Amino acid sequence: MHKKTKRHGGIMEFVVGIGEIKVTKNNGTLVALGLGSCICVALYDTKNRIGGLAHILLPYSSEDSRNPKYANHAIPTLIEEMRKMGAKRENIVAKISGGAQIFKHMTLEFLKIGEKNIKAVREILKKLNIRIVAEDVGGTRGRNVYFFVSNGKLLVRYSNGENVWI
Amino acid sequence: MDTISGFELDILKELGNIGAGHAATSLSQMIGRIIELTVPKVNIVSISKIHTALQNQLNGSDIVAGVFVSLNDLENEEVGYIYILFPKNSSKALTSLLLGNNEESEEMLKSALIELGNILSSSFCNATAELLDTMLIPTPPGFAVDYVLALIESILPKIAEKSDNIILFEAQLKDESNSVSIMIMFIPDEKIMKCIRKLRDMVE
Repeated sequence: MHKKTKRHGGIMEFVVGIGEIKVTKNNGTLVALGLGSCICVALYDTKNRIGGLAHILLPYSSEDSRNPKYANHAIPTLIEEMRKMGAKRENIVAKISGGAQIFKHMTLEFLKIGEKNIKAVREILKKLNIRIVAEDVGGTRGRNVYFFVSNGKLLVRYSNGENVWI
Repeated sequence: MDTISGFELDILKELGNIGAGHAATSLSQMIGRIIELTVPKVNIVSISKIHTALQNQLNGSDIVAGVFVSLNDLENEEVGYIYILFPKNSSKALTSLLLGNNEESEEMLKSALIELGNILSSSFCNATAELLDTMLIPTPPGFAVDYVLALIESILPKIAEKSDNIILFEAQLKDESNSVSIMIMFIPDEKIMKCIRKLRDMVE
């Protein structure tokens, strides 16, 4: 998957592949490419400037294995990783993006996975007492998401070229 | 799922070739010109590696058009999927190939690509029926234009439940003046693989 890191004007860019999580401090950009029904959760410690991104494929897993493909595993693991870096739980806020339904006219139930992902992520964050400060979810278009850890801003670039900052 | 052996790969290749052959014939009949569809390359890719495999051909943020068909058995259960990707920059060549003119109309091209999806999936089903003696019925195709990764990912959750492997056909669609590379993904579930193994057992 995408493990490539690139330097852009001295700022490291980390690509977070499907089912992966990544944490970085101070600056650096965390990138999730080609989000369709997948959803990404960006957690940010506003005081210590520590950011983490999870690229989540599915809502819930009943398995015990801590597979970050699933929202219910990815989010707690991400918080843990951030705490290891020095983040404080009470400083952490969340931004979420993704969960589109790319195939519009399909009756197949599974293609509504985007909606389920959004619902699951909201539920889990609520349970963990983490506030969602901004979101850009749903719709029918794919997204590339860039999370700038230096200021906590999230750039959502749609497949039609449109840009949204949240 | 077991890993796919050489023999099984051969059968799958053969399925691809027969399917492509049938599809080219039907397509040529429909359009009234000779269209060729060749499948020079077949790869088996595990689902977790699909990104890397596609990236040899496409960039993750490339915009593509995708047609998605699920294959059902007689009990109306999904037993496999066919997924065709058309690079967006080939829309001009595809228009002239499929519609025989140079007026780019997105709506017409979309409908032509969906029809191509229909033809390809039915041909594939026929090939499977001939070769494996099992009946498959294609569902009406779904269509979307988006980032290549977004398209894949939107069907990935379903596929990941049923199969570990994707059979990736790199196909060429051409007439005398145009040539377009398309990717055809065939994702068989355990039921289809079982039929293939049955065939192997008969041979051995």
